[in-house]
Amino acid sequence: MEIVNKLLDKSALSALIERLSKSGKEVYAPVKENGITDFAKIDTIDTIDFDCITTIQSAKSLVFPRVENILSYKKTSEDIVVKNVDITAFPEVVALGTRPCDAAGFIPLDAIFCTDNADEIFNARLKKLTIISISCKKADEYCFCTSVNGNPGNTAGSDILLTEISDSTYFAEIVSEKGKAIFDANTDLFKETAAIDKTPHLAEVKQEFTAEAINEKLNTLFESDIWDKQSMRCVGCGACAYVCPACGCFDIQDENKGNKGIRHRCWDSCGFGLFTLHTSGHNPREKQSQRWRQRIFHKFSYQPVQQKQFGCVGCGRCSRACPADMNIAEHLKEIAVN
Amino acid sequence: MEEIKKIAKQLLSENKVQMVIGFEKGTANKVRPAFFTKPDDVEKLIYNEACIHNLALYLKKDICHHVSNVAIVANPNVVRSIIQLASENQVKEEKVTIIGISFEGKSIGILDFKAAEEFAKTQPKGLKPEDRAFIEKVQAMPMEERFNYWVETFSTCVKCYACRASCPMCYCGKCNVETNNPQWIPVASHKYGNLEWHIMRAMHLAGRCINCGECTRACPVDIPLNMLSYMLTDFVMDEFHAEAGLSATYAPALSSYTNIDKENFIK
Amino acid sequence: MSEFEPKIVAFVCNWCTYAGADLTGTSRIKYSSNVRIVRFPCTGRIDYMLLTKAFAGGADGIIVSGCHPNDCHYTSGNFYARRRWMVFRRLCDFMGIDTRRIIFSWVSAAEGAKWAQIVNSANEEFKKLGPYENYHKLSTQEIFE
Repeated sequence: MEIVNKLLDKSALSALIERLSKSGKEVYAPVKENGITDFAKIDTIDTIDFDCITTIQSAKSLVFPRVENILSYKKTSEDIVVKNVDITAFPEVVALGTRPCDAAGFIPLDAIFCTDNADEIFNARLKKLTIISISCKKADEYCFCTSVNGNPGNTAGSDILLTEISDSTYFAEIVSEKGKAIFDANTDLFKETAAIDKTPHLAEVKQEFTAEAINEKLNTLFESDIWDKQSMRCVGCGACAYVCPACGCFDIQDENKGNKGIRHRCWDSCGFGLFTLHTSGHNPREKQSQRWRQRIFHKFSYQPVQQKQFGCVGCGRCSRACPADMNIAEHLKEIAVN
Repeated sequence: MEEIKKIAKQLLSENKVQMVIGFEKGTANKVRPAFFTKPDDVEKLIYNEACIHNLALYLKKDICHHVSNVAIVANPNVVRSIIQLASENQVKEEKVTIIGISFEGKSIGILDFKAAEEFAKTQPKGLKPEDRAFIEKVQAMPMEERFNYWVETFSTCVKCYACRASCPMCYCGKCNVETNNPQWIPVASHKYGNLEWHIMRAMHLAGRCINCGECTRACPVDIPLNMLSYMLTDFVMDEFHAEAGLSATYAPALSSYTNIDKENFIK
Repeated sequence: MSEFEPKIVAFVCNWCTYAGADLTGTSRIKYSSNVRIVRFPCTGRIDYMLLTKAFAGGADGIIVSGCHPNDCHYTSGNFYARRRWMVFRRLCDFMGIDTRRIIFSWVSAAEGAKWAQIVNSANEEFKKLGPYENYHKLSTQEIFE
């Protein structure tokens, strides 16, 4: 659909949040707790941390939780009863205050979960998710969205994008049908406006390279020693993958007690040595540098081929979370000029 | 600083070591671990108050496997970690050159293990007042509340294992948490899985942890998990008068014993 | 309603306490049947995680028992175990896991009567404490919720 431009006052946003949570929707927004900002359930605007550049973790857990039950099973004297998770029982969720990069992250994530087979559970959750993003006024040295086809006022992935144009007013762009549904139910809160140039209200993020250039370069770099060099200080944890809005790898595990049990899926990371360990004992990615190469190749070479999507949105979360300060933007730039 | 650079440069140019592990400038005002293999690279070496990463961890990673001699810029935490690793037969004196540096950045020069032990012994011991206060605060809670406190605290853990990956003492080729036939610690990061993981980790570090706090620094969600091992370090010191990282011949408290250990709790 | 009968798991070493428990039986000494004995080669082999696994599995109380000091079949397994128990008890205490529900004892192969007494007194103690739920609940909530 065509983007519809409106104005939304901050007081109206506050009323919107209250209405949404009263109508039974779960509203998630960045909340600062114990010194760190992450998405948490809210029912009033007061608890939202509007100042943070990005949350520590991405909003992906709203559609791809770090642990979720897939099915449960029970053995009786006659039979084994298997019950799939009830995908109709998922709540309606509104993600508020996501950044444009977060919203864009759902696109590659969706692409991963819809390759070959559409993942029922993931799609059921995604269908019930409405994303109301807020454009970035600030950026830091980790941000690089402009280098990977994004920008601080990007509407891709969002259902509604709010841009703060004054202390009391947001410029609202209604991007999708889901966003329109929210608008239609709350028309009294929005005001009319002509299209507004957002640029003066957005953060500046300098473009350092292009995702396409990285993709091109990677064709010849598989055997390069650049991976060894870059990953020397990598400690081999999974922090980068777990905070990434576009990483979708998971593990399937069974847990049981007596005659009952569940099967769930939980996050996994290509940074772990165990990730590719075969039963035979052979590990095709034995060294940390090979795992680092996989991370970059998957996002900038394999995903564009398989899913026509880059697997990176430039939020810089992995670099912020890294205990050894592996700055992905810096490393990508190095690859681009290599 | 300049002195550290001079030493590093000399070690590399005289080919006494093939690599110097130190710090270089990182993103914005951060610093990052760096590996210098050429004398000219050493210009990039820095040391400031932000250099708190425990570099000893790299001695047990892939990068040091093929290097016969390595030098390491070592603040007191790193020195203690190296001594502890030596006591567990994980590093050899002839392979590691310790370039000692105080927390404030004052060069202490090259330390052999003997001198490193002496240096470690001069450093402040025991818990910092704020850590002790934290432990006492938790200890003062009623049992039920204490249990719930830890369950809730660990509930935000995403099991990225950054705590393990950045700990110099967590060098096992196969971690206990990777025992999966049968699955010993749940893989998923639900409350139960997280609690078991942190119990297991704390026990494995009891009497070996040198209180550098690297695990909590590495944690992306800032869980104060170092408090478990700090508390146990304190307990081990009280009970067994043993402290990790002070002697290269130290037998970790839990892999040694005396005939007179307390047993008032045993019927 | 019938009286609460605690589930007790006993981790014992093969050489002393298991033989001791055997002697209790052959001596026809009656003792509480709530206990489920798990035999190990040595107390040194009793991983502390097994204790938490027992709680997770629904145990209301645990007995850990082996050879008296200096009697270990492998010379020193029980000495290592003793230290480990001390540290583990401290950690449990700090983390709010009920240490009153873990009873440690030395029972030799000749102490059939002592074994009966340990189990009976543990049973009484655990009865007074009631069911132990928080650890068990935590481990099953993923499965039954």
